[in-house]
Amino acid sequence: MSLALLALALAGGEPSAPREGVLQIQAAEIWTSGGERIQDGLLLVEDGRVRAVSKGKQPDPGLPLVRHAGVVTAGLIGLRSQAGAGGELQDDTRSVLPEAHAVHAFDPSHPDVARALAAGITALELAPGPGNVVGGLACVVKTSGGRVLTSEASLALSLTSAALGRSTGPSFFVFGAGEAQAQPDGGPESSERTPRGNREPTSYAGALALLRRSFAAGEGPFARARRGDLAVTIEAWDRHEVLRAVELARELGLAGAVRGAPLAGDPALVQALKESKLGVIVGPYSSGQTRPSLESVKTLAAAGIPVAFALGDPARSPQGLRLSAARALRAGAPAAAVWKALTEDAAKLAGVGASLGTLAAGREADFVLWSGDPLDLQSRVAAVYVDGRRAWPAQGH
Amino acid sequence: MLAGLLLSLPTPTLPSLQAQSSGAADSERIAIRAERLILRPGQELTKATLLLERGVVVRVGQDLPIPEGVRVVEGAVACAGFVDPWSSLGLDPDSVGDLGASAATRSIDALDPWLVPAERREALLAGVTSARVQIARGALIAGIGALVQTSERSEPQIVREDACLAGSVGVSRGGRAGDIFDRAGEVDRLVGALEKGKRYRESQVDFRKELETWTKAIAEKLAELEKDFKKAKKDREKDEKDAKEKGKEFKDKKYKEDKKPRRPRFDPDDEALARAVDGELPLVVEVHRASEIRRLLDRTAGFERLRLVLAGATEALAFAEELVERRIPVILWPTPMGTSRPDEYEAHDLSLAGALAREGVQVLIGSGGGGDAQELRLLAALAVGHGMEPAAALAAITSAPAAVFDARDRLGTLEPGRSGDVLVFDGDPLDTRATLRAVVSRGEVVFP
Repeated sequence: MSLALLALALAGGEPSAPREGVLQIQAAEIWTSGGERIQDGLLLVEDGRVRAVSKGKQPDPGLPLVRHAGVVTAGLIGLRSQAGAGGELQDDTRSVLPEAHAVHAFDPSHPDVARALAAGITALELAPGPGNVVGGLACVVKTSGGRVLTSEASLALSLTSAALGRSTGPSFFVFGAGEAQAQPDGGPESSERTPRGNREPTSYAGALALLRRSFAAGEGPFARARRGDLAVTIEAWDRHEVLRAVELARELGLAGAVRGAPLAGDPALVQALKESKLGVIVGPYSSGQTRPSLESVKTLAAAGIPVAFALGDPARSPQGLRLSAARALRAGAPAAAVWKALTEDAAKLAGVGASLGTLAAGREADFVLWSGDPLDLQSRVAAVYVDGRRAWPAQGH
Repeated sequence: MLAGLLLSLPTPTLPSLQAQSSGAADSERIAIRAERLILRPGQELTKATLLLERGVVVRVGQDLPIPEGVRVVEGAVACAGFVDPWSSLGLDPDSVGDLGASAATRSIDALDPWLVPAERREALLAGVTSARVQIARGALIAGIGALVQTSERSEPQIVREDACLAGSVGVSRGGRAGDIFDRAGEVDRLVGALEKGKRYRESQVDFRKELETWTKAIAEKLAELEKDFKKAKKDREKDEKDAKEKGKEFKDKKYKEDKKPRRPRFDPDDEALARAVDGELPLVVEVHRASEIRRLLDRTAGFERLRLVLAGATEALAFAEELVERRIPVILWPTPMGTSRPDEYEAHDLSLAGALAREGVQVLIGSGGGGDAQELRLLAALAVGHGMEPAAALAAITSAPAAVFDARDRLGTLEPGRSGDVLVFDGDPLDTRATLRAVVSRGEVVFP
């Protein structure tokens, strides 16, 4: 806020000398943080960062200006992405890979990355798959310009059946592909457990023993996670898996998120999650997602638990991120909570909450110009800016 | 029969209508008052009232007096219930996956009232009050589809038990689609079936003509014989006598009129195909690639009365002009697809609905043939977000499907005489932030 005032004082209506990397966006509405919407807003960007967001202020005639009749928001964040990474995010022979860096699979020129950009997604979390008990380090990358925001955003753990007793042969995985749909009648949940191999661990108890052993050794990412310097993301789909994840996090003092958990809105789970330092990354939601599953966004948000949507691209379309959000809205989640899940909470759960997710002074200048409210699927992306530069449509279009 | 069954499911969560009515109970009449009443896409009244009686829209107007004791449902925007033109909601899954269907196989025979009632209720609560349901998803010939209402009442809910004949060419079956020769062959087999249906109808027409000619000829001959009865009798007696004298066997004279034309053997499959060829019911073909669309359009051009409808139609944009000229509607499934999509959707793009509509093609939006009818409004909104006009997108899930499946006088709009399927939103129906506040199906409030 003080920065915004400072900017106001500095600009003072006087034309300034043109500067490199400076841009003004004047828009009918700018969404900043905490659900604040500024009518007739002016966004000032300098050197890839937001310098100020102000209301009703006249743009500086000496600086480049983009006028937009719609809404400007922070860029969306795509969690649990495999964009351009092919099958590189999972190891078939080993179960524990704390030092595996997903960033090595990042190909900035891959068309998957461009597709995410066109959908209004400005940052992707490339994350190890759910097939390894310790999958390695997720990174957060920009969808334009190839910049890696952090190569060690979070440590990926998995307590799902997908990590148990895997075959050591080559496999192909898709985020959420084997994820159980929440059963409305309270019937047993069953995530995919086939084909069974004999790679250890082969049971939940074995997986937890292995994790405890790894954390007890206290080296590298394990030690950092225990100290609270590194977030964890624990894959957990069925309710019993979520409860094990919460218990493990409590025991080891881990913070971060549970990923999957279609029934995270179950009262027992909400209570457990509330007492933990874990948020929930839900989805990606499918067309046939059941109501109890869709309602979990509403329930979690109401309980004050951070919640975000997984993208699961490229198997799922980047366009599906807003559709997941619209499905949650249809199931009664408040618009503010859903928007937070797409941006602010997504950044937080990806471990980059300090730099991404909101349009506030000092944050990275990743933003989207929408024709209208982005929660209305009728609105379209007019332009996407990454690091303060127009990234989509490409310059010259 | 089954239709009756289908609706006799208990609906314990529904609030009693009477309990909420003011004054005298009048469950047969409902008034709906809305700030915006969308009679049909592009035509609306402000601050208007809709009166439903015995399940049907009876009056619409801005200053309608509301009769005593009628339940009033109020809201910001009201429109007709959505019609999903591409669904298998409420059908037994084995029948939906049955690739062995023939032309006469009927989708209504696969209706299963006890199958995931939650799915049907979700559809209803998402505003889908009716749907074209089809068995044999992906089969070359998928049989006869039905137009049904999704309501849970205990009266017959079938709008049309023979809404269309359906089929598909070049789609993935068991994970993959055939090569280009297989796919071209599928078009030929489908067209071959239509030709067979056409010949069947022609043989029936021929038979009727021959029968007519024969009946006439017999009558003439009889009259002739009657007239010359004495002479004929004498001639016959002489012939009989001659034969006896010569020791031969006597045979009655044969007349060519004795041979009655034979009725062609009834074949239910050929009959169904013939009905499609005659344009009695539309033929919905799921087809995606340009090569198959081209071949299908070329090879069906000679069927003058055939009412072809394309479904899927991923690469149809190149044929927009011909689709307009031949008045061939398309049913699209504008859902976002990632890399894990069926082969035939390789060129899938959400902008197709808007692009085809701009070219003048009649576009319908469906939920892709599965049980996900509850997605319909979101899909229409996505189509708008990718360039379709909002009124065209609303038509694509209301009036257009009703028209294509011959139910324009029953569904899809809120004009007098139409079924009382009304949705009340707190915002624009296609705004995905808007909430559906009330669903009225067949004149009965099913939600809240």
